[in-house]
Amino acid sequence: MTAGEYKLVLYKSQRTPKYNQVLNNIKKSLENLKLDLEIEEVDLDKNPERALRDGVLTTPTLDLVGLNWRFIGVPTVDELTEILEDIKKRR
Amino acid sequence: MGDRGSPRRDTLLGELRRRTKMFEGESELGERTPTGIKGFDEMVQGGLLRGETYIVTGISGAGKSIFSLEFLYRGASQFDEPGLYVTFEETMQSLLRNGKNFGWNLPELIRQKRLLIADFTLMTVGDRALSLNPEAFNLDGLYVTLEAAVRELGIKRVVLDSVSVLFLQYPNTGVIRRELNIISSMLRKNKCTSIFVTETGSEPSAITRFGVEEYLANGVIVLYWEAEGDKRNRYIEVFKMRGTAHYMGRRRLSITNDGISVIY
Repeated sequence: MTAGEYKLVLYKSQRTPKYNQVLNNIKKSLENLKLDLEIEEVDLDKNPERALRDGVLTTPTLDLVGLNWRFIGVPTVDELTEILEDIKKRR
Repeated sequence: MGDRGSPRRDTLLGELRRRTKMFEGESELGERTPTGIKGFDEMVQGGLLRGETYIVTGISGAGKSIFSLEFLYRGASQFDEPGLYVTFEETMQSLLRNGKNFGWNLPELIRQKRLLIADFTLMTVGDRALSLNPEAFNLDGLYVTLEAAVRELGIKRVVLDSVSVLFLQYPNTGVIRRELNIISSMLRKNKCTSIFVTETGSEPSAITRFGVEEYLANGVIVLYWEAEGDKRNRYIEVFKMRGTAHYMGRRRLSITNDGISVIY
């Protein structure tokens, strides 16, 4: 599997804007790293069917498709770096 | 007289109308909705208060899920109240099989959009690696699912089975309690009568396993069984029921060929 086959899905909602601000920062940081990682943002208020389809009970939730990894809550930079290092190793 | 039609008078009339509407709302909340479960409604003055949240709790094998599923089945098939069953433990297939054993045609109710089963079991039993920040999250995935079902399908009855799973999965009980409170308020606002299923703690004094869920609810219904001689008898007891002169004490409960029956 190449890095291009990974996808990060960010599930968010409008009730807690501060979480969304953190997710935006995470998204920007990842885009700057140019990891060839597709990033999808899902606003559950606009797409409630995705919550049931993807089994998402909480926001924020971050799914790394391809690694079968899910983060619930706001991850720290260290936690994200760790998982991204894992992706790099697999390239 | 000179005040007639003035902005000040209009404001006062508007406020009076608003307050009258509030009281009309109060009387609507006093309406009861029968569960349809044989013998239970007689214990609680004819049914549950429409739009309120109730805890159904008990030990394993006491009949909590059957009680909750029957509440939705009877609502959808007899009382024109579509229902939503949110399951965190038992799969949809298992629930449908249980219903079939009692002669309840749940697939047909689902086809008619009078019953919806939201299966969140994959989320809890999947083989996914899970990381968790126990402080910074909310239950908006669950919230938007419930809200969409209420808005788009006109859901009037909701079951969450079981909220104990949420307390086990997410270590911050304060967050879960806060989130369940928010969900309960939204359901109340939409006049949905709801059952939150929980498990009884090992201590008899702790009605629910985590000792907090009962504070969210308008009423607590406890199901349990006791070994008596060479058999086990099931019982049901209403521990708390705000606004209801309920039967104090336990009743025998039987699981029959067509559902639950409270025996007098």
